[in-house]
Amino acid sequence: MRRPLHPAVRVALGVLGPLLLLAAWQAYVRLADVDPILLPAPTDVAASLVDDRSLLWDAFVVTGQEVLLGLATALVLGAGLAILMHLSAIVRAMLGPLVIGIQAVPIPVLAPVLVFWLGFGVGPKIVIVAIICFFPVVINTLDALDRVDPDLGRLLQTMGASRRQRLRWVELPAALPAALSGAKVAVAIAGIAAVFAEYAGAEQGSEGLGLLINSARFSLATDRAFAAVFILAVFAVLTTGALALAQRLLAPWAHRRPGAPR
Amino acid sequence: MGYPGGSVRVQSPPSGPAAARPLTARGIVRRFGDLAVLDGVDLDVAPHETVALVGPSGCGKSTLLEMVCGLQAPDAGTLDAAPAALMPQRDLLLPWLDARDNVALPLRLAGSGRREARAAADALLDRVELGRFARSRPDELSGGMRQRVSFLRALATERELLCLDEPFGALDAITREELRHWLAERLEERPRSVLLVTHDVEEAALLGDRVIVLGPRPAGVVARISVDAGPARRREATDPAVVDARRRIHDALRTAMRGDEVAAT
Repeated sequence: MRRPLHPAVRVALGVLGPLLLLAAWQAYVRLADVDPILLPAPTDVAASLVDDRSLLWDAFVVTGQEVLLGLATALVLGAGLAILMHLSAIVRAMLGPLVIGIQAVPIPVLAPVLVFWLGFGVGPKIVIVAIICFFPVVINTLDALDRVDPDLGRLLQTMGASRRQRLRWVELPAALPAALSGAKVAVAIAGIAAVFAEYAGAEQGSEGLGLLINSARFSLATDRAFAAVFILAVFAVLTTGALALAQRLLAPWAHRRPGAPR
Repeated sequence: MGYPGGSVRVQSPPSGPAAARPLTARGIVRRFGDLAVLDGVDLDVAPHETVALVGPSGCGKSTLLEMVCGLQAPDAGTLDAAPAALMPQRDLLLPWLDARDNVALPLRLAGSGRREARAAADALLDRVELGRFARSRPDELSGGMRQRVSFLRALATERELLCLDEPFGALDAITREELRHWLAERLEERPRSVLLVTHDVEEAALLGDRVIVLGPRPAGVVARISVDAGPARRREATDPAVVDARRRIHDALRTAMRGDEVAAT
């Protein structure tokens, strides 16, 4: 069996991995004399993070809001739809193909329609992030609901439990860890979804990281574009960590403690 | 709810004088497609009596138990049962609830408030000195401890009829013996009517007041054996009456199996 690492060692290794990558990247750019417009050195990106911090922060606030609201919408609607599909064979048959089909629609096709309906504000971006994050939440939750031990439901039946009580006491708690796992998968792609959503346009003064990346590329400020990407990556790591923590707090039974009696 | 051919009557609690017998089953037949599982089984459990149901694997013992618990209906025959509490072979404790809330679960489902149900569960756990495990989740308990909690959950319902489905089947020999004593003590403290399904002949002789032996599929009752060995709590495997009961159960099973082989040739 794989031995678990001490938490401090795990964090140190988690920092060391990216640092090694950055060192290799720095060495490559310097030794191969790569054009900074094509690929800036990590030190240039770091300099941009400091110099453009106000610009980057304002853009991050917008994108962060889109990601978190989109993700929350996906979690609520995705889990809700999964429960409906679990309870009703008709809903499942009707919406199953639709859920998969919508996932295949490219965002650039969808974005203009949503902007037309909802305007250039934050609305269409939240919808796009929600649509992208929706799929892993629905699939994971539905799968977990389907895999609940049927004997648990039968036992509750002998206690006179109603369908609603079986859902409340057995199926929902059993599906919770999987729904949060779905959200963890979703959060990794939510940032990309927000960036693409922003390409469809935004109101003056409410540009997020996506538009910042776009304008930086046009003005050949590649270091600023990379600084924005760096922020997106760190944000994804932090939100995934927050979800993992939520999973431990909300579903502690899903993490078996080492040394527990069997 | 419609039943194909049999009739089921669940007595409404509390049982009146007319329903003094917690379980009466007559001519129970159950088929799964062309496969006949139970063929005309008669079964009674008297108040505060422990009846052990023994038979070869696949003879329909658990099917019969599920009928008594209302999870299945007979294809023919009549079943008149008091509301039953089930203790399954696997403990089936809810992993997200601690021991106290698992014991309190049937009370919550019956409409009790959280505080009231927890107080009742705490009282049950304290009485058997398991109070210190009240806040432990099932994954923090040993197999024997989980089965104890599972039994207390069945007791918590205050239902007159307890259905125990191979309650020690998943445990090692020493834990099984400990738990059997523990269970006999609990039943002496709070007498209930018990239908115990087991494939363990010794277990049946040690716990049962009567043992019903089912034959191979399609199963009917091949023997009804009284165990006159005193209270279950004080029985030992070496008691002459227990040894005698075991021998008679074995003989009945062997005869039934031999008859099955003769019929098959």
